[in-house]
Amino acid sequence: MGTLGDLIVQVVVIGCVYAMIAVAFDLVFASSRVVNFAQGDFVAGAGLIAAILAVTHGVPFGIAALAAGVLIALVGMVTVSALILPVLPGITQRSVSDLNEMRWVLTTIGVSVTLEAIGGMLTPQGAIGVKPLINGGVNVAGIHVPLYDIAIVVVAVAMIAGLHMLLRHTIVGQMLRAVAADRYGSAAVGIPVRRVIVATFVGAAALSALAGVLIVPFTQGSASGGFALGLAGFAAATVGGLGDMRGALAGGMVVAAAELMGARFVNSQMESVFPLLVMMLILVFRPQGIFQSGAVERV
Amino acid sequence: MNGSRAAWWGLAVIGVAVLLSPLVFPNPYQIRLGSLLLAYALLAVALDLVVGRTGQISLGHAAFFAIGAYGEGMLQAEYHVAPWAALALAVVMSAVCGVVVAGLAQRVRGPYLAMLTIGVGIAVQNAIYVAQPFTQGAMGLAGIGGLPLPFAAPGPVTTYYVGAVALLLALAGGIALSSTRIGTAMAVLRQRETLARAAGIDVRRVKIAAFTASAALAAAAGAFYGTTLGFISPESFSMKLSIFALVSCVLGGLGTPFGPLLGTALLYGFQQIAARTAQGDVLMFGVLLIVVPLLLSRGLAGVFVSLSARIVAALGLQAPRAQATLAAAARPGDKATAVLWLPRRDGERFHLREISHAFGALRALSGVSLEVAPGEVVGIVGPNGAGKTTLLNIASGYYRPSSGMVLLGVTDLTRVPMHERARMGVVPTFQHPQLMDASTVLANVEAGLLADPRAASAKVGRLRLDDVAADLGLTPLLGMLAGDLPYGPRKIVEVARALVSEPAVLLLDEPTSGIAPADVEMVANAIRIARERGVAVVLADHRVEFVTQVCDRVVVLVGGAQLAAGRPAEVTANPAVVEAYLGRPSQGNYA
Repeated sequence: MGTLGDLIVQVVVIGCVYAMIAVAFDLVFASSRVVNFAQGDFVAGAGLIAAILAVTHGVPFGIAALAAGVLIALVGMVTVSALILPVLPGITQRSVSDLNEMRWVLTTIGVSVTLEAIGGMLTPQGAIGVKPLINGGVNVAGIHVPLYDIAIVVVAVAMIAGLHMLLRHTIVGQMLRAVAADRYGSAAVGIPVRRVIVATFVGAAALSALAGVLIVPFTQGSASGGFALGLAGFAAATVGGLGDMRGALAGGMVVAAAELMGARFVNSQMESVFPLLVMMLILVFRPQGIFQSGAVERV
Repeated sequence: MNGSRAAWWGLAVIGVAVLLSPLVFPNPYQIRLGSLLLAYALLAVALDLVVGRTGQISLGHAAFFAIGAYGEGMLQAEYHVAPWAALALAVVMSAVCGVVVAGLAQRVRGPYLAMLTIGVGIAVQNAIYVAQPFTQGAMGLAGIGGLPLPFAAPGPVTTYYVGAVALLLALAGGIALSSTRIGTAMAVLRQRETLARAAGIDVRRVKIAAFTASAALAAAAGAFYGTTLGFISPESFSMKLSIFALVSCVLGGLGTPFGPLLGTALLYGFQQIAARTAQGDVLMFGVLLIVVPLLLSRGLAGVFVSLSARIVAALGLQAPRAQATLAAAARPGDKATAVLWLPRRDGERFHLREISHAFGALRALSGVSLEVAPGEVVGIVGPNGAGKTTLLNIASGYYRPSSGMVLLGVTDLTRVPMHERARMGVVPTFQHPQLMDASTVLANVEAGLLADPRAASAKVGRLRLDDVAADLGLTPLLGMLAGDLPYGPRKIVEVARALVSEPAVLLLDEPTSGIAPADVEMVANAIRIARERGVAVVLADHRVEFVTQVCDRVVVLVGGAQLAAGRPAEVTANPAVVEAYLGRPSQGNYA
């Protein structure tokens, strides 16, 4: 157990990773109003693939990470094209079922469970330990900060800021907002609705994979942590307001702080419960997130 | 009803099988496996009450199962409470937790609710680990005594029969529930919440009640599980158990009488076979969760029902219900006289008084007043953004106005929510028809009967429904799926749904928008019929000629304020109205 300074560094680093996962949730939600329950398993899956390739098969970590990213992006593409688009209203012909949005909730939970089971089968010996790519560290005001942690923060902030700029200032972002607001209308004005939704899923999967590869030295290569990572990312997204990327970084920090400080000062056995408590409090008392005002629902 | 008779027969068959199976499999080990299957099946039946019947996804039902098991175990071991009393207490505890979770959960919807319940599940399991002084933590709690019966010796067989009777009672309760008002209300709100509200259903209360009952039943299942094993430990109550129960419901058929039992039996059987292959069962759960909702929305039970319906039809045993209805209504002469038409709150006028409304900084309505008498049709016209829909949404209770009053007679409705207004006779329809697409037109119109507290007798309701359907020309369509109807008839279905409750006030938002010109006459006819029956009608529409044709009075809104009001001829002649619609008369010559 480290000092308070170490704890703060950890909160920032883990918070950045959670923020990336939160942004993946945001991206998918922004275009399709879908919450992908398998998002966290994309994170853990990428870390696991990279770990298997790098540690078990001796592939250089950079290439292993790239392969993991491509594979997970493919999984994302299959998930959205084969399982989610067919049940989204306004995309295909109205498919008669009274399950409504329950269908994609169930199928994405199914994807999550399936990926975790496959991951478990791939690692009969348990988690695979991975060493960070960069060693060494610097001293900042008496606190030892590992260089690898700095790298994570830089990558995460750059990715989130870049994505935010892309969606704010380019036509891609406008299309995405249009698709989110009205699928019929967007299709009518010539926006490729299906492609926009598929692109956001693939982008979100790639971002999740990046988060997974970055965090694998901390979590170790294992499929079983996917659900917890997904919950933490979702909690961060809800704190920031789902679909709103600006709040993701703050949300990630809040959730990481709750988790690490709760484990340190309250009860270390309940580590995974604290992000949930944050999420549940936000969902119950401010479902629109802490930065947004309420939205108007229409009939 | 036919489906329900089939369900009772099904229950009889299942009852015989469940009660006789200890004679076929007398080995104590097999009987214990059977008891565990009963516990899991009860959990799935409980979960289906939430997921299948009211469309709320819970991934945390292991929590309530755990509360039941640990409640039973701890009360027995620490406080020496008798097994049955412990079970009752555990069920009450779980119901209380259920009320709290469900009450909080009503603030969020769909995927958020799933996340919230995941949180509850994980939190409860963690709490069991952490509260070691009471729960023995990871070591597990031992020495839980079985549930005694006064006339039978304790043992695995007695335990089995306790569970068997409990399961059969739960299944019977489920079948009985389907044919009650609340069962119908659940079926409606699962598919279309807005329709449910318009039909007078307190969606929030029904959902909380279902969740509470579900939590109680899950706890009973958990307590039974604990007494069956005599030993419980926290790892049994992980999310895997919640997923197991969810997959059972999905596979067997959500919202079907025996789906949860069927799914549990299949999955549990598979688990026993595949117990040695690690993760094999989990992989199958995942694949089933992906595949079943995509291909079979009602699971295996749905397949069974449609297969048996096809066999019945192929053997010519029974004419489909839709055709029977069609034949009965082919003679229009002998209906209307037989039906007593009693509009509610007869003689009371509907007022919107000095209504103002703002969305943030946008002022949508300022000081608009409107009054309708029974048997009168008042039209609201105005350009886009004039505030027509906002005014109707305030009339229906969908919005609460920033200021002003909504009155029916002398009753102040301003703060009364939509579903209560519908029960008092102020019934809305919507610009985009809110229908249950996967149900028949008949079921959609029938939903309207829920709004009339007086429609207690199914027979009276059915008479009234046939009457309205015949008047509106819907009779030939009653057997069709609502989702297969074109837009115009969809709107007529909504009007019919509103009319069967014998409303005092009917609210129509853009009844002719987006429909074929040929269908406009159908809508006009529906409005005339409502008026003949003494209903006060308020409608907003774009088609000026339609409005002038069907309305007794017209109110013109421009920019959220009233520009003119009066008889249609006066209003259309009003220069200010002409200017608002056509612009200032031009000096130019268009000849």
